[in-house]
Amino acid sequence: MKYSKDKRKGKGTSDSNSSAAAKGLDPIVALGSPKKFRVRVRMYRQGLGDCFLITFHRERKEPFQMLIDCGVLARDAKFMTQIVQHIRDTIRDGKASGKARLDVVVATHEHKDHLSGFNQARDVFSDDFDFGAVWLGWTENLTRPEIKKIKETRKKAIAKLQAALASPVAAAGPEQLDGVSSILGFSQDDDDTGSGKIAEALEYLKLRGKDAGDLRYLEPGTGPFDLVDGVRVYVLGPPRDPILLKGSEVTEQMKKEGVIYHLSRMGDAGLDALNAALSSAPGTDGDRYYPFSEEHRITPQVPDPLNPATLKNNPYFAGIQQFVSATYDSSGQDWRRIDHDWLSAFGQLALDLDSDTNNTSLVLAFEFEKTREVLLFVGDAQVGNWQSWAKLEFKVPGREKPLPAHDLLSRTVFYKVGHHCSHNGTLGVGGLELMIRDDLVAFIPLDQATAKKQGKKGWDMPAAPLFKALKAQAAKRVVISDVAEVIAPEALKAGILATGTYVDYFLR
Amino acid sequence: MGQRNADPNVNVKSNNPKPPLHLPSQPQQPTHRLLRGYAFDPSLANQLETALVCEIIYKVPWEDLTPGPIGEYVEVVDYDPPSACFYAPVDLDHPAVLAQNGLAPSEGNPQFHQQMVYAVAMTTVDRFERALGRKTLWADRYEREGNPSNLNEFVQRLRIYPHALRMANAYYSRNKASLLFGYFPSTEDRTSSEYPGGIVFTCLSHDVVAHETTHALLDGFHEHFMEATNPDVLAFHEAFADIVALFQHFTFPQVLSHQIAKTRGDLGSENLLSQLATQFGHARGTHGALRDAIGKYDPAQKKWVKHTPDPTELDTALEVHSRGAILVAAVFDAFLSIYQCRTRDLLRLASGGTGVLQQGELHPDLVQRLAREAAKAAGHVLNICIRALDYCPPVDLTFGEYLRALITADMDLMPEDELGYRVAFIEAFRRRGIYPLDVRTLSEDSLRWARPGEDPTLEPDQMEAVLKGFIENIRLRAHVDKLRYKKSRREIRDETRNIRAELHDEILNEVEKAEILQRLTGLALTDIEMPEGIRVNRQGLPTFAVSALREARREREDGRALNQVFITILQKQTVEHQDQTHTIRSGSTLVLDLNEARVTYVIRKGLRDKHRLLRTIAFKEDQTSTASLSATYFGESREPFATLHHLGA
Repeated sequence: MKYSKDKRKGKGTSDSNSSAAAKGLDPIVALGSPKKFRVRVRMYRQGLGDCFLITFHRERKEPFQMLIDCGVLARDAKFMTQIVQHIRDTIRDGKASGKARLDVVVATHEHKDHLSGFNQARDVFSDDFDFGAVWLGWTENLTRPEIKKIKETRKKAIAKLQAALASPVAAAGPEQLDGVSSILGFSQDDDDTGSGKIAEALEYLKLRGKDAGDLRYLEPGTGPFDLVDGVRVYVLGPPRDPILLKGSEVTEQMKKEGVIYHLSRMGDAGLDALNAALSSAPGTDGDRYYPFSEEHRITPQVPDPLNPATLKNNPYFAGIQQFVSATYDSSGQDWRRIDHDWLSAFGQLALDLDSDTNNTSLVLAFEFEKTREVLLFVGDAQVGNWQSWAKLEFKVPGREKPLPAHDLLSRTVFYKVGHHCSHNGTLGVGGLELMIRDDLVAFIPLDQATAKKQGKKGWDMPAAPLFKALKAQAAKRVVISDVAEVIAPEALKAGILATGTYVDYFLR
Repeated sequence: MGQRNADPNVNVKSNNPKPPLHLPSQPQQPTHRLLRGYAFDPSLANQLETALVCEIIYKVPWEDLTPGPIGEYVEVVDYDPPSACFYAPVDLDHPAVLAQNGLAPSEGNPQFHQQMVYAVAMTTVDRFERALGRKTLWADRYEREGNPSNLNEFVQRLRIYPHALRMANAYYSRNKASLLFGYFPSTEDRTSSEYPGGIVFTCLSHDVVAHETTHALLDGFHEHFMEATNPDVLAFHEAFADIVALFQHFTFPQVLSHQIAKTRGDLGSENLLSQLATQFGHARGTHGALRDAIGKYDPAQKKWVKHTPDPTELDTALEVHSRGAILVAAVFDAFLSIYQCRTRDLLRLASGGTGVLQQGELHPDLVQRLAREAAKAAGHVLNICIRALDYCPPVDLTFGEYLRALITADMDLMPEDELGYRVAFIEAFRRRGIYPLDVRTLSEDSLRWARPGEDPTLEPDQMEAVLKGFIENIRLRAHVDKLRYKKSRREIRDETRNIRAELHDEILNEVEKAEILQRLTGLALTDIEMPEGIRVNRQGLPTFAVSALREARREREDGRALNQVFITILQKQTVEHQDQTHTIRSGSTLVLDLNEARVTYVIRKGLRDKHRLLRTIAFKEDQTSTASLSATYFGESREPFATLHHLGA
């Protein structure tokens, strides 16, 4: 198979068969685990990122194994390889060899903190795992021209943003650009940690899905379909409605050309205009983005006509020198300068990109038919994605009326908290407030130390008000994957077991 | 700098003594400077229908200017950081410019842009001063973590950067005491009415400039209206800025007549006057103006549809702009009722008594008369809205309280409400579900702010005497007299600060009266019954600040002079709630009648209002639905209006 030949990835996996547990990770079964359970949700504690192994019990069969995401920010390939080996060993259930079978592998969206592991531990995935199926959101289906366009625009935007960050203006380190690069980190290719190109991880997964003969691009409203006996799957997101997907206006023209993604509030031209400011000299292509023709612009220096490589003082600047000295350059008034304020546009662009990608998160709900309990995995869905569920309904066999998606929320017993517990990752009204079960458990994949190191002021994760609301709703059964977190005794009572490597939730 | 008004006495070259000035033959100082500009924005010029009315002449109060323009209130500094260049400052006193009412409107000439922002900003400042009857001040220099010596630095001029950003945004920066305007390429959508990819300048839009200038004016007036303590506070900032921009449209005579003729006098139908930032909206591909007070473009029906007022709308519209739009719509509704009331007789006269106009175009005379009534009504409504600011509580404003402020201000000036203005306001606000929470009925009288009540601890009749004594003891009249004859804005501001400091000490010294004042204001001014969480000074007395002192001399409709002083006392309190500490600002404004030496109203946001404290805490804690992704990654924004305006502008 093609993918297993790619030995470039996953440096540091010299011994792909060695046992993960032997390398300082915890045993594959936590002490005190119940012998029998209907499902076990294992949240790995690999850092800031998602990696969930879900094991469904099957009568007289091997358990059904599902992996939802496998990624991390700011951890190296060696470490992630150990995590993936631990997953393998868990599935092998003590056997030393043989392929570990993942019945379904889910990639929620194209961000490093969800997918890096598929690059970092590529060899282990290729050599030691059997994939049964790969599930992706419909927004990853590049055979559809409009989606291809989305991805291309996004790629262009990222490239432009990177160019902006590499420009001399950015080198001066203005506060308006603080933190922009760390947001970009979700989508950026990088070789320091072996995360490689995130798009490549997706391509790899698609390939594995095709080889397995079961690659699915899921659409909201799909389902329910049976996962194993007695467990049904519902697909809630990513939304079909482009406005909710993007949270911005969509014009007629865009609909006609099938562009559902434009750089929201800015447009391609807007971005070009911004970038032109960083790079182009008068007369070049970027010149058309200048607000006035060249003769109106007065710069302190101009190229010397005798020697175009050097600059000389602009004689016309002398005419306004007095004005400039008395106003803009006046020393007592330097607090009113605006040299870098315009760069905040890049910060907004980075946010738009991040939010738009997060909103393409594949959102899945697993329902136990008999007990009607629901496990909810939302990826990093943002407000728009959540809002779309309000109108979503499912045709359920044997049910007269269609089932509203919000009904699933009200029966949720396990909630994978979206976007590492940021403000926008969980909707209050029409979201968390609907989750009224008094045995609700919430898992937050988050490493606070990593989050604090990002940007200048650190990321606001967990967001205090949301965290509080979660605790109000799920009492002390809110668990952060952070290894520094102590897990409350109440959580342990509710079927949660923790080791240093992972936290398990059991539904018996 | 081009000091064209240089004192001839300082002419060093000439040895001859200066000939004496023959005063009678000197020309009189002009009252206004006439400046050409766009009525709304350049987009009107591109449509045949509106091309004739796209330009108007702004009448700006005369002042000495230096190139920039730099005047008493604003300085235009045209530095364009994304393009790394300056544009030469316009000299509005140049004879060639003076002789033809300013430069001709042009999108391609940066000097005209400077003239346009100056004209609109000064028109807005003038509107404000005329309504309030006193000079306006910008907010003092503001620094969040700055060194204390710089705090409270006087800002004489608001700085305006017409080309500061290369994005579809414009905002008032309090940190820089500046307005920043952006420019951006229009949408590439060819179905929009803009030239695809053409550059759109926010500084050429009357509405955007007036909106941002109003933010700055309001911030200079009420410094705590940018602190979101309930969903209405920031929404009010936006709504008020829109109201000022909107009602200034009615001062454009040609456009007004044109639109009245077009709508056959029905201003409640789609028209340019009720729309804000038309070009900006179209350029961003929304097929309509950025905001519209009476309706909007519906993408599903592909046409403009009128809003129907919904009294429950406020419950769900929590986003700042959509919430603000409700207040704007309510004020505009009130204006429409007033306008209809004022023109009903004209329509009857013009229709043989039926009040139903004939088909076809209106008679130009009727159009002129209707336009005059519309302009008058709009002027009155805007005046009422601006004057109400004096009567707003200093912190934690709600829309309902703004209604109370509107009604009280108008009752003070116009005791007889012959044309039913106040009823129009109350009705329009009620239809949008805007009312205060704590009045018994929605009548004018209950909406009016409360007068100070009797104090049960005093002998009957004592209260008034005590307050009178207090006003005399703090020498309020003497203070205000000093203020009245200050000429420059800096002197006014400095004197106001001195008086505030003196008032503060006098209140502290008058402990006995401070106790009455404490009950009156609901604040902690003495050590009696002091709530927890108040900082105390060395004597163990609570700290407070006399944060504002404003005087207003206005003429009532009956010709009598109203002579008022507004004193605001502020206090901070730290409250523990569920392991979190909150700092909550309380404050009260006393409205004093100087003629009678008595307290007319007390506008209270007291410390002892437990309900308000809890509501504020709950609001601060529950920002889940409103906080942006930006807050997650970047923390609190240093430029609140930049983020606010990014999406809705």
